[in-house]
Amino acid sequence: MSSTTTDILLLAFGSFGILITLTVLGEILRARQPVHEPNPMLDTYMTRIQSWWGMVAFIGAALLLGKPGIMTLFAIASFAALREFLTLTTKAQADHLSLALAFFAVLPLQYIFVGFGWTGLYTVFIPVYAFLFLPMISALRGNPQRFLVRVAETQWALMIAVFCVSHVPALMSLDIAGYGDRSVLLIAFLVMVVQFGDLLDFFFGRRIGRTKIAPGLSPKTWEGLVCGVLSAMVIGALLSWITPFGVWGAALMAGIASLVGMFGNIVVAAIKRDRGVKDWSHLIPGQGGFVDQLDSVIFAAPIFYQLTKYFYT
Amino acid sequence: MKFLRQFAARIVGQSIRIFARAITAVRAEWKGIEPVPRQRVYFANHTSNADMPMIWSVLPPALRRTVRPVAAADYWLKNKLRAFVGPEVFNCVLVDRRPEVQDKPMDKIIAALDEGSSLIIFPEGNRNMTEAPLLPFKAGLYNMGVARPDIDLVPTWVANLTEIMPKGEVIPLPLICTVTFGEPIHVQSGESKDDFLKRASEALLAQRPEAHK
Repeated sequence: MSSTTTDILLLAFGSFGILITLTVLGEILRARQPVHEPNPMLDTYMTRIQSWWGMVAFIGAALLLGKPGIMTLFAIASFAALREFLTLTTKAQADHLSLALAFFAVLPLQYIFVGFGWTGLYTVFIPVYAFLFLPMISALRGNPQRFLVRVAETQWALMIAVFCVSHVPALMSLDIAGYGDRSVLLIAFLVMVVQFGDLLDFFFGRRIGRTKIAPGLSPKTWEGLVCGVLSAMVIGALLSWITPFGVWGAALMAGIASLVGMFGNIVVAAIKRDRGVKDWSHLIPGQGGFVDQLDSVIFAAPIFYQLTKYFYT
Repeated sequence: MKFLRQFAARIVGQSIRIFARAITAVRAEWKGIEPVPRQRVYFANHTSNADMPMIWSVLPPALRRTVRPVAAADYWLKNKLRAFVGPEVFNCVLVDRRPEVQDKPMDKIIAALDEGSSLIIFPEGNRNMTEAPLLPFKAGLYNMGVARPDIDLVPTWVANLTEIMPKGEVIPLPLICTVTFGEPIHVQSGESKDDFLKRASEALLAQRPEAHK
């Protein structure tokens, strides 16, 4: 067994350990709860934990399967996210072909480019080629009504759901000196520090949160955010053994990723508020849609990718 | 042979359901009723041929087994494949819309209700190709409500299908489709046909998701 595989298994068992603790905790609380009194808070907590079990299992299995597994998993995540996003955007029948191309051509091509590690292509394909060509296809159908809104929202959807999401598996194609095939572990690092940061932000926000960051938009508080980012840094430092960053570097990278993710979450909250929805969809029980669950990872991924590329390759 | 056909109908039905779930992530929103087996008439907006399969796909198995969509015979008997899917997979109540044929659709519908089936109907009568959210309702819903006043008439809104598959397009877009079931209505004693149909239409419009208005 290679050291990379051993490390993935270690991480998976570590996560399972945490989930078992959280599940047992929930079950104890539930056992103490009188049967007739409903406790929505506890029910939400339990459905969330169940979804987490699924996510850890999926990501763990994909990491063990290596590149094909990871590409498939994130391509499916992109597909689900794009579907959630484009369900809510402004569109007309004139956009039908360009939207179909977004789903059935742009998305698979982006993952093929990432899979082959063609950096020069996957970093410009959506921001340049899709950006220029999809509006042309929409324009050819000759409907000028709300044209700019339509093409801008489609491009936003592609950037968030495909470009940004694909930067998580793109971490695998980074060639870091002395790190070898271990770059797959960067995916685990990114997802874990950002998601744990979110969880602790939620926890501390509930406990000691006072000052809302964006009132009327998101329940996030500055107190929760600071605690969340600091916790992400601690977790990053603890996980530094799977990264090429060193202890301080890992803490810093984790902190930046978590911070970007938190503000990304507020951006996504603004979009949801504008469209009058609470969640993007209902695909993941207790958590809403893929975008709800992954918003912070989505925003953090390209920044984390670029910083790693700039400083460590 | 009959057994084989039934088996094939089940396989086709499951495939349609899985396909609908995988592509449009179709989902039911039980706003006004619970998903329990009870005789109901689901009346829905009609923008696409996929409306009926979508409603059918989101119903839980126990409800799906007893539901019969009311559909046009001229559409479902056009070729052999449709003649298999319509009557055997969906168990449609086929009615002939041509005026020269004395088909008496209401008799067939009442017969289906009396045997205990729930129904899916599209009270607009035709597919809505206009910009307006709903066309004026035909009298059928009112007649059903008068003939069998105890049965719940459930407003059922199918969202997004016009964007998933606009008329004239070939490739369906995998957008999320939502089917919203509202609070049931009944014909009140002394209520006129026009008043009732207006109320039914408003009850259906009220199920439209916020984001699509």
